[in-house]
Amino acid sequence: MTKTNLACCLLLATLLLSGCANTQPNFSQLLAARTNCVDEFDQYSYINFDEDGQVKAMLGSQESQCGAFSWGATFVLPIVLPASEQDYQLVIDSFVGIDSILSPMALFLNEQYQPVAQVGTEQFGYSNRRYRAVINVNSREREHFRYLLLTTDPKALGKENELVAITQFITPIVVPVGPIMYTFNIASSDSNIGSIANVEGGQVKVKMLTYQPEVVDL
Amino acid sequence: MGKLFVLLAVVFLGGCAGMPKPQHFNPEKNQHLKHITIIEPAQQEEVPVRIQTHAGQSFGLLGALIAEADMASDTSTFNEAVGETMPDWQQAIVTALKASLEKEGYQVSSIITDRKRENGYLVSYKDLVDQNTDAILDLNYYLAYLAAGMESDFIPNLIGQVRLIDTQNKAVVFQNRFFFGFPPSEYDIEADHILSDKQYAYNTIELLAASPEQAIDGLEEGVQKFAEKVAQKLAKQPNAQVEQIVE
Repeated sequence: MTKTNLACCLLLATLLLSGCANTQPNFSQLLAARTNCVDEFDQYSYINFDEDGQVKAMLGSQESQCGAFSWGATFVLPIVLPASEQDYQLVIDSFVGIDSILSPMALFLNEQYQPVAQVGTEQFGYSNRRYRAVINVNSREREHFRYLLLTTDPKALGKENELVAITQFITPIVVPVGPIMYTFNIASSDSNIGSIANVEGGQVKVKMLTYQPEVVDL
Repeated sequence: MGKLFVLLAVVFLGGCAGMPKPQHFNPEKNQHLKHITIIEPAQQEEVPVRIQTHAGQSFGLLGALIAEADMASDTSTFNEAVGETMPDWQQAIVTALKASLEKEGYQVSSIITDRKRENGYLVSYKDLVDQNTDAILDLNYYLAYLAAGMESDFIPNLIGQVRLIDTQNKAVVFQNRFFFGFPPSEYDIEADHILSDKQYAYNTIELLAASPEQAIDGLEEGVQKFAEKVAQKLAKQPNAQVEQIVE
């Protein structure tokens, strides 16, 4: 590789990584400095999905709030679920930081702010540098699910995830398969595999998808 | 430098524009899907062996041609080493998918079409459905041994895309992409990634060609894990188990 290309690759990698690197808070400081803790779920300031049906936040940042759950979790992201008359899907992603990831837990509340259901970290699948859970909110769930608290799962805190793919040095590659172009990352086979720890803070995204499948010619 | 960024922009936009919209499977709404017919994918006769950042690519068009010739030579070396023992990848994938989907409780059959390798999904599914079929599973795949650069290991890769269509309402009830081996790009967060086993890593084409049976095992592992992941996504149980809290 020439020096020019190496410089371009490094610049590209920096550009791609900078968005994540600049938003990593110091979680221990945030935990120590937390204020305005409330114990009651109805005291939170619940946020709505944006126009694209998404909520993106750093748990531990200003978007999230401090909680004092009896089970030991600290930060919480309180979200208002849509009063939808149609079934929908919630896709919750927790993204890998440099060597850590939020151990997510979703707690669903009813209209009276009472917990009615939960999805723990063990129900989130690890793939493609993220924990993900797809939760189908069908008619039965829609009756009861009014609010979502996204928080940390104390059962998973501190646990290590072995042999996960970690993005370090990226070289995006395009492979055409018929009309489809796949873009994927190349890192050296050893450097992109490692372990990550479940921690209390990290970048999360919740996306609401209406269940309206595409229709094809049949 | 300017040209490089234009190229990169085209590359990224091309990658994004070609991605089919993912559709997550909703088990509760699709309990009626019992019999799936797999439309057999096109055959892949040869397993490409490619170095993604080949040194030759840094020397203009001539260098790129030399790089392509070098990788064509590596591909020939590996495929000749495998020879007659090269699996029928089309059948390997269909067989693995059938087994994995049957474990999830589906009845599975398959049909052959005259699709070409360069085709993506079929444009139309007319006349491919019989009365016993509740859903059609369409897929395509790309198998290869890829290395990041001149000094990196060749590892097995499988890239696949799959969609499931409900024959009653013509709806695409599941659609996604799967990457075995190297992970998808930052821009393809919807895709699923499956790690390959480190034992199938070869530092040179000579080492790869010297262990053809083991190298093929690496690709077959990819086929198996890909099939299992697809079946997992189509499980009749929800992807995330919601635990009800009883007061």
